[in-house]
Amino acid sequence: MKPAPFAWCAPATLDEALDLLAGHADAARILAGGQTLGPLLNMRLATPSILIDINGIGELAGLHPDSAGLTIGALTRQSTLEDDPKLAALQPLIAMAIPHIAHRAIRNRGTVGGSLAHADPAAEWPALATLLGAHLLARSKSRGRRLIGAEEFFITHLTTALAPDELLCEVRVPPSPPGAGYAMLEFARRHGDFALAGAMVRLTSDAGGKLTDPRLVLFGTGRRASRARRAEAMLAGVSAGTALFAAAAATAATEIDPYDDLHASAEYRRHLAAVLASRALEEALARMNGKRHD
Amino acid sequence: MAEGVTQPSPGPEELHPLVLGRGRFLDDLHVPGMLHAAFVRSPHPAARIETIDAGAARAARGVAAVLTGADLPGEVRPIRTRIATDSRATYRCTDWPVLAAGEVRYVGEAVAVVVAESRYLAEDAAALVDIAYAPQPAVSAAEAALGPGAPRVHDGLSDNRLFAATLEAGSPAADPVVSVKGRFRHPRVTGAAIENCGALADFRANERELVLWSGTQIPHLLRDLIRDCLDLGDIAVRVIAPDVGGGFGIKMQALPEEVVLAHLALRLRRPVKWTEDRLENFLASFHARDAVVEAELAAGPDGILRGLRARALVNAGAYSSFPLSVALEPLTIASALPGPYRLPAFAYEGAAVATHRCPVGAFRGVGFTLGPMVMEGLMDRLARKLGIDPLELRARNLIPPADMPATSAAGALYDSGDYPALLALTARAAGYGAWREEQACARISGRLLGIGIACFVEPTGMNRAVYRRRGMVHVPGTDAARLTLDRNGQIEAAVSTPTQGQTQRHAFKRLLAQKLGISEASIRIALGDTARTPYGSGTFASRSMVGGGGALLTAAERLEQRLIAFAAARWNLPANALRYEAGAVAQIEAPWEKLDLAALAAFAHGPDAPVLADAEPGIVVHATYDSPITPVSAAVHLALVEVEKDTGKVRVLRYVVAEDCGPMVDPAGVEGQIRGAIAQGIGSALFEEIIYDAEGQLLTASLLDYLLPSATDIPAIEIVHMETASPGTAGGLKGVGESGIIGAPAAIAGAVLDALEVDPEEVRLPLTPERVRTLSVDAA
Repeated sequence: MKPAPFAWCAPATLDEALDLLAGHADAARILAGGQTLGPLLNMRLATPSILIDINGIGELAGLHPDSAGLTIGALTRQSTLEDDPKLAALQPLIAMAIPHIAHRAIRNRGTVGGSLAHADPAAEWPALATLLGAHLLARSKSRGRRLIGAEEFFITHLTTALAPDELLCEVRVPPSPPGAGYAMLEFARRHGDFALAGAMVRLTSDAGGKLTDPRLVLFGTGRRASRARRAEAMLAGVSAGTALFAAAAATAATEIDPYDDLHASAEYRRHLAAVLASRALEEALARMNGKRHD
Repeated sequence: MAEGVTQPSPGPEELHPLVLGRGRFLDDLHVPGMLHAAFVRSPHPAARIETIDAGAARAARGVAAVLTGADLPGEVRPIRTRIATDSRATYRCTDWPVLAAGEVRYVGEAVAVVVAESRYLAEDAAALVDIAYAPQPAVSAAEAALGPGAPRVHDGLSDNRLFAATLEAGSPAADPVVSVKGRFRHPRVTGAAIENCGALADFRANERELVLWSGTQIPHLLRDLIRDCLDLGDIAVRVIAPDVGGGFGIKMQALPEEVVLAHLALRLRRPVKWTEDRLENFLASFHARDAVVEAELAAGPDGILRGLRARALVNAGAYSSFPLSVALEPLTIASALPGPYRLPAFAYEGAAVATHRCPVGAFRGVGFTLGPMVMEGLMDRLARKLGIDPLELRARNLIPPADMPATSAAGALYDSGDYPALLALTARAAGYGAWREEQACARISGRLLGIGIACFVEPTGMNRAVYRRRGMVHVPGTDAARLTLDRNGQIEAAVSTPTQGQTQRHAFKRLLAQKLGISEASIRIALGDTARTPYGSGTFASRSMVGGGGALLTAAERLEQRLIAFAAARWNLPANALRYEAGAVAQIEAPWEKLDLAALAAFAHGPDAPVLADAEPGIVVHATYDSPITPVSAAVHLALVEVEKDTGKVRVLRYVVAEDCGPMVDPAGVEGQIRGAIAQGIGSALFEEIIYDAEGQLLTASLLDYLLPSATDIPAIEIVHMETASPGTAGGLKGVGESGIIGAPAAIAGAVLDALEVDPEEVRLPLTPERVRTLSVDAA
């Protein structure tokens, strides 16, 4: 488990990094936190000839809240978010999700951009970006700046819309709607493992108590995290009730395309998706109604 | 006999260097001029090797040598593990080439070795070894391997059955009986030590000594094997186990790679190191269990057992491992099945079958784990069928203390213990009645709680007679100790049972200090080096305290005699006028006249040291110990679990253990052994499974896919003790190394089935959430 030979470059500026990417696009891999790339290199499942280490590019890290929402630099460590006391108020769903990302030691190194660019269908960040309607900023020498909506960014399993010479620089999350209730549940064999299935929910309602723009994302249950649009449509504009949630969850479970692997069958994943979606909808409702503050 | 609750105590200081990162493990060792080896491994479960082109690899940067099986014949013999069988067993010996010879029989089998200036360069060159394989039909499952027309793993054998044994004792009563049956499948698992395997070999030309460092549990037996496989002439072999990061039985088998490393050091006249990585460990270190047992238990209407019939099939993988062979698992299952119960009749058939999978070896618990998994599973079924409380059913059938010593239905001698008292102690410590009430209340509110019970025995420190009876000719069954009193009054105790982190040094020190009446500070323990320790079996099958401890106690008695001999010379008195007491020799007639260890050491090494006619100079004694009996520890486990109905997730809420492993030399060490082994047993019950597909490809080659339980998956484990001394062993000692993992899979599985109130045709571990949910859906 020793990596094949590679050249290592550590650009000090974003511009240098983009130059290197332009010159070596197909043969290069970006090294950020290295929590996925490291093992891939050691097992020789990835054999890039050049690693572009962006850890020295300070401008890529950090949180920038403003009226347009929250901008998170791609190099921001998961633990930086976890430890930020402002996050829970700004983006409750992100704050709920971060502790589920692997283990603390991994979160100390792992980055937001790394998780997004890796696009594992069972990972938390692609699901967060999808539910929250985030946009991802990519930069390159050939195309300049490109802002990509989350649902266009994630194409399929481990595949994104990033061109080989593009670097993911930041993710922009719109502000949390007033009064929103969130929930995030996942089911894993052990704490910290990739989820066999996960559900994220955001509920908002109008003055009459009718649900407006309900969002339900399932992850770990297909080739990418995806919004359950038909289930969302069932909920939009109606008053909330438990029976409705169970029906919506059952519908959501028909909108996914789960797979078999060592840890669970597709059928079991579909079952879990329905269970988690139903529970998450109820939790989100309780939070929206202010009945739950955990 | 004593009983009581011990509080968890801090681990002994022995572990501090390891915890602080100051251990010296295999990969920390560097010898000047050292080369690094990487193995090229088969990607096929079954294939003929047509050609190997190592030209590009040999020409690659930094490469010192590339060897294939074809470079070895004549110089290096295959591993051949023998078993002496009687009329009730058949065994077929397999030759295991240390590098594949024309044919590969499992994914991961070593085909070539590349030796280079660094492991990086060795792996670069390994990728250049061009091997043309002709894949052959493979067989992966044991049942399939026995089918007609199944591909044969070894061409020379008529079928794939490598070992078969039968056992029959007593005859079932003729009166009307009830019976229950079931099939129990334990997954293929492995020990997953923190430190993987590996070896460093160095030929010291001047001393004509080949030194092999390895994390082995059996330094002396590994040395035997190296000698058997290589033509060494006058070259001595010395095996050294440095600090070892866990063995769990996996490191009690010799690896073919260890033989290859020894050969390379001799051939290249350069030290060569191979550090196994996790991928290799999963592919090609030893796996274990992979067994299915079908069994039927008969009883009277009162629940009193009448007889047990069982058939076990073990998927042994491609070769028989050294030193215990494929006979280990089926033989051990046979001896474990009757457990602590009175059982008038027992019929057993066991077989180990070759498949195109990695060979299996010992792993903590071996077949002892299958015993309670089957027997306790059947007891639960019987209890449900008869409407008897499962704890009460067990109480009715336990061997009572009045029957001790007792002979089990499998023919094993149970030397001592009070099993009914142990069961009662567990029930009291857990509050069994309250658990049942809690379970009933929870059920009303829709929560599924379940209670699992495992009563079992653990034969420990098996003696020479057991290994001879089992035909395991490569294991002496004895252990040994040597005590040397230094010039400065320190005792070095060298023991043949090495440590893999179980704190034997601490326990041995305490045992010897108590025996001799001296302080632990004046004792140093030497382990794990064949040049420094006397010949013995090694550390496995819970034998350190019985074998190593017994040897120490025996040697201590000889040391006392030796000290008396020197004191007699010093005082010019007859030896029978003196006695040893509390660290000194005293004159019986004038007990104030004493010579302590320091004084005797100074005398023995001083200018007036006597030349004793009957021994070497200095104060050195040696003892080989064959335990007069194989002492049997016993325990009861009670587990309370909750099953989440709609997902099948299992959470262990409480776990209570009553253990009787005889007098505890080091209670903290005992509890560490119990807790660690239960964690591994919970792993087998709920998480761990090595999975091959039907073609023999390994699907779980990393810790991402082979799930070990993490700290949050293991509950607080509550332990209470009884201490029943063995009437037959030195110091009354018994072993405890495996106990936890023998009981935990049975207790957890029983608790889950109790929660679901189901008796499936097959109980298959691990009980993953999906399997548990399937069980509950099928039941509904």
